[in-house]
Amino acid sequence: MSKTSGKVVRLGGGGGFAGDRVDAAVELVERGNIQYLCWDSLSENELSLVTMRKLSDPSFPGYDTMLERRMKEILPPAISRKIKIISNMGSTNPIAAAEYVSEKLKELGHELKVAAIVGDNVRDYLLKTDFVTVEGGKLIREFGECLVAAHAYAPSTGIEHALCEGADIVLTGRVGDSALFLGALRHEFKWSDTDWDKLATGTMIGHQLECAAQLSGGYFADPPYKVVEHGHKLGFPIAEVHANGEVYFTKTQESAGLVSVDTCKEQALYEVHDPANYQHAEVTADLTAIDFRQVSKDRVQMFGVRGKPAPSTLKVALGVREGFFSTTTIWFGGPGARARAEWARETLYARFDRLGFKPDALGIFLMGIDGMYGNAPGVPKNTDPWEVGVRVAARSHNKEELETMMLETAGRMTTNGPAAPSCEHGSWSLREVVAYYHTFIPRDAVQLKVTFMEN
Amino acid sequence: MTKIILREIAHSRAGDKSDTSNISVIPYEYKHYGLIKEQVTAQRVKEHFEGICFGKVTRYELDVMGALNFVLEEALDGGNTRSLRVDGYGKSLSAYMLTLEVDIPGRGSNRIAVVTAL
Repeated sequence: MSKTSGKVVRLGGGGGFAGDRVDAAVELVERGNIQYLCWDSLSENELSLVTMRKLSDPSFPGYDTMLERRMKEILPPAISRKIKIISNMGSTNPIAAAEYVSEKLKELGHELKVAAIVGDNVRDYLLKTDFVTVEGGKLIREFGECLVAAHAYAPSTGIEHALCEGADIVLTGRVGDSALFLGALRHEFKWSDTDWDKLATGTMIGHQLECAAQLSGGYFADPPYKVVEHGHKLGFPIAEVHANGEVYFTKTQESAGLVSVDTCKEQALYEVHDPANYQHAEVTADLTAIDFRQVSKDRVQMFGVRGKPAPSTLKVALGVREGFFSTTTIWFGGPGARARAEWARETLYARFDRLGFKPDALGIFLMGIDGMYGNAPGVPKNTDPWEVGVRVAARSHNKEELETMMLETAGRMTTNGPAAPSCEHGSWSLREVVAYYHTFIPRDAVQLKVTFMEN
Repeated sequence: MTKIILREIAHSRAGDKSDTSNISVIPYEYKHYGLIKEQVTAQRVKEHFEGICFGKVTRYELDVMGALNFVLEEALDGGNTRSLRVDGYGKSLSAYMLTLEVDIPGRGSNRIAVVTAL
């Protein structure tokens, strides 16, 4: 009998994006009977946004803006149950995040081991080498100062190492989202670097949980076909992993939502391209034989995940400053709403032309008519809704031009435009564009380093 | 044969990576997988998404689970960080996918799936 035989590990998915619900994570800790709370908080572009904020506010520490509020709520119930927390809330500054959590723990009278993992930031490396973007083949070093952030999707090895050294809380920057889970599983079950089926299964466990409620009734309701009740108190999902390879997904019975074959199938293909080659830092997962079976209410077993060697490279997400983006919406209602909205659209196009605007991209959409799907063949034509929005969206390197376009739409279209407009104060916004690109770099360009906070 | 829209017999979820959207089509019942696989081709999806998707459409088949995964390139107006669309992630494209029509034997299905009741 090996040390791991008969072992059962339960992991909870603490969140699906930077701003996700906190009460559901607390519920998971209090009632989920879990050993690990794995908390994904970094969407594709999040590190760029955090870096942008850091540039404009030097006092901002550069870790997840939600970290402090979340830790305040999650630490007391997690500590009392000895639940370990693994999260990428370290964002661009895992060390500062770990220092903060370590201080917080001391205030609470606990001396737990907090680890930070760094090494995913490859901006300097890319500015010295000749890699190009997958999107359009652009030479990355030529982005220069406009390259805001470049972080590699690191493997789970740093997390596994930190846990082996006794870490109770692990804070990372960019790792593969599923690696937050795989790291805990590799630590618990001592899977080897080449046990591809196990690594792929662990990766898919992470994949299923990393978007939290997307496995347990979120991103799902479509009544009357797909019914989800009490959406205000959806439970976040739990994975139960057995040493013999059995894997179950479930949630607490007190929470709302559902874990079903349907939710599991939808999430299994979420953001997947070729299911035979779902590439990650440690393994390439083959989902061609994946299947799910409802064992009991809110308990689904996963089967058939296979694995093969990982690619020789790591994926890197880049953020590049590319001018500005603005959007403004005004509304028309009542009989003839569509005709007035169309009048406004034509007038705005002509107006922008008259003012000599040359945005990089401009779109004027009629919300309720062609605002989401354009004129694609399946879109009903000649409808006459009671309410129609006119949404002006534009990208430009000229911020002033966008500001005038917003004023032309939100303000001047009320006094110079059609009858009976509606313009809500604040229904316009302008932000800087940090465009996403990605590339691939050799694995050895990323050297992960685990740092423990001093107690 | 009866003409129905996919929503009657299948569900769908869309995900984004850069300017590429992937949209699954998952029949509620495995017995409908065959007809969906036969009728919902990459070519039909490409035509259905005219004006939304400007690149290649690839279809992947998951015969064991009973699902199709469509990968639509140049489908997100440059990707979420650049897109002018109100839905830069393309999450709403799954609803549009389910408007594709298929022929189904007999009088068709009016399946109402009540999947949870607390």
